[in-house]
Amino acid sequence: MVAQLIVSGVLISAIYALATTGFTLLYGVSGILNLAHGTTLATAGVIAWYVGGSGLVGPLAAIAIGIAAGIVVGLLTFWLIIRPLQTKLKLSATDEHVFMLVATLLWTIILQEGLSAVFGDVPVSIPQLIPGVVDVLGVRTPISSLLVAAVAWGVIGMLWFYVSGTRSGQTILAASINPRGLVLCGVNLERINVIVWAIYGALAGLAGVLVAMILGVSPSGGLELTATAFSIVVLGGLGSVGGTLIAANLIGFLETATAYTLGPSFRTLPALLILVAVLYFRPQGLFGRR
Amino acid sequence: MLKSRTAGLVLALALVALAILPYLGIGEYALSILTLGLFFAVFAMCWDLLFGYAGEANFGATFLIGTGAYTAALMSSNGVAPPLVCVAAGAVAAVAAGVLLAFPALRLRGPYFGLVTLVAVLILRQLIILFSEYTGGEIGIAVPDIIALDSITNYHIALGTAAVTAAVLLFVVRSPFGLVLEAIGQDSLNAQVLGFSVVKYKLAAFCISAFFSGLAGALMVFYLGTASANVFVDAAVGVQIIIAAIVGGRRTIIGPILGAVFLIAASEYLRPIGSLSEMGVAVVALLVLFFLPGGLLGAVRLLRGAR
Repeated sequence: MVAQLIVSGVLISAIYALATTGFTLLYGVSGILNLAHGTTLATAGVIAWYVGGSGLVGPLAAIAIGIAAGIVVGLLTFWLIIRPLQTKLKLSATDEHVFMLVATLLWTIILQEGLSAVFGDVPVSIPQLIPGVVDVLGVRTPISSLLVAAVAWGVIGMLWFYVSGTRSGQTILAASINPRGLVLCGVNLERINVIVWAIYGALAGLAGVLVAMILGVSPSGGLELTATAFSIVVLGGLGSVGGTLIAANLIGFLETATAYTLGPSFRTLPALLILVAVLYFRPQGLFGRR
Repeated sequence: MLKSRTAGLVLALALVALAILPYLGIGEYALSILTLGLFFAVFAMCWDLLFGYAGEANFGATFLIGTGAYTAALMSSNGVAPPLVCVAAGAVAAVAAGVLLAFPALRLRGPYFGLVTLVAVLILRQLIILFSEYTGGEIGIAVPDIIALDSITNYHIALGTAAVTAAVLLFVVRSPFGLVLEAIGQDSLNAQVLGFSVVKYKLAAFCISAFFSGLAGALMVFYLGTASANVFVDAAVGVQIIIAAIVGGRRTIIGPILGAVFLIAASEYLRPIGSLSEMGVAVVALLVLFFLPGGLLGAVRLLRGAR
């Protein structure tokens, strides 16, 4: 029982962690809360499922196409929604904030209904890459699931290396700290934005495919994924990647433990209650700075 | 002032026109859509009071509406009281919910407050589903009583509620109270320096908003005959309310009415084309957002200003 809980907790947490890093990266760098996040994940998952199921390409190519779909959606979000709002309209900070939330919500509806019209609004899941199970702590675990967890943590590690170890990554970090200073140093902020949105799209695309493998996705389930990502990110502290990773594990384990002890229908309730409690007493999240 | 007198005259004429509309040979179907649209208009106006004036983006409008609706439905289905008492109780319960929701608003800023309001809806929804033996879960509760049977009376109830709400909210935002509220919404620090209690004003705004949200929610239960989570306690419905208010024109009170009726009517008439209809409405709303950031009413003002 305890071993079962730990194994599924680690697995779910790994997916949650990957699924929220893109969201938190975007907020950290450009201060944007993309409410279409979950639907971006769902789009990638559904497209990878469709392409993989059509039999035209192999499973790995289907995953690659899913990631590509994530990048396309990410860039479209930037070009069609975010940039026009930032440049065309002269809004006060509060208004721009709410307009951004409303616009990304409308974009969510457009994506979601478009997906349902093309592929139908049914939950889909991508078949496992590698068949077979292994014994972990006495729990029979599909090899595929272990692979998913490994890939998730591997990609998070790669992202960390990119941001802290490469020049282009350092520029992105600088953009999150002081965009105006960066422009004064002669860096093209527009290009940084495109890079960030492409990285975001790739992360979301991969996460979407992995979510589709483990939990399954559906076009209309996107908003729920956004809500989960949002609560994890806020719990960890908006914009803090380390906090997000810890919060992802916290919520992942809490949800798993609740599902095992109280029943699956209670799954999300304790996490929501803890979130509200944390916000009351520590509004900046567990690891955020004001 | 001539300008506000003209506006008042236009509003009065519009109200009279809407009131006699059922006798001008409008179909049952169109009337039922208008009825829903008018209830929706109340929700959007209440949201506008909080966002346009108090400066709080409430993503959990359905937390207030749902509390009102479910209170009324639970009381009625258990035979506690006649419909009108249930409606009054629903409005009062919604005010209590509004106070509960206002507390984080007084502590939290920006996205954090928005998240708490969103989470409030999710928690209420979970509770309704968990206690499905009392609440009917996702299917909902059927109410045994009705206030009125014929569609014209129901339409007039909705119209009356919307008109009273609009009148009260317009009075509130033009009163000294409303001006201070608007000042707090735009620059709460400066308002505080001037000696106004932000807590008191925001709390009052939440109570007013919650009262009419709950009232309309409870009345809508008796119009629809059921209270179900997908209609009254759904984050997506809250989003539609925001869209209606912004498309109609925020910080105008009257604009959200236009937005709400437009949104309900558009999604009804586009229903034959299936899921693409919602996509179409979303695209239109997005275009309004980009090209008419003041909303439909803002566009009217722009035209008048240009002349």
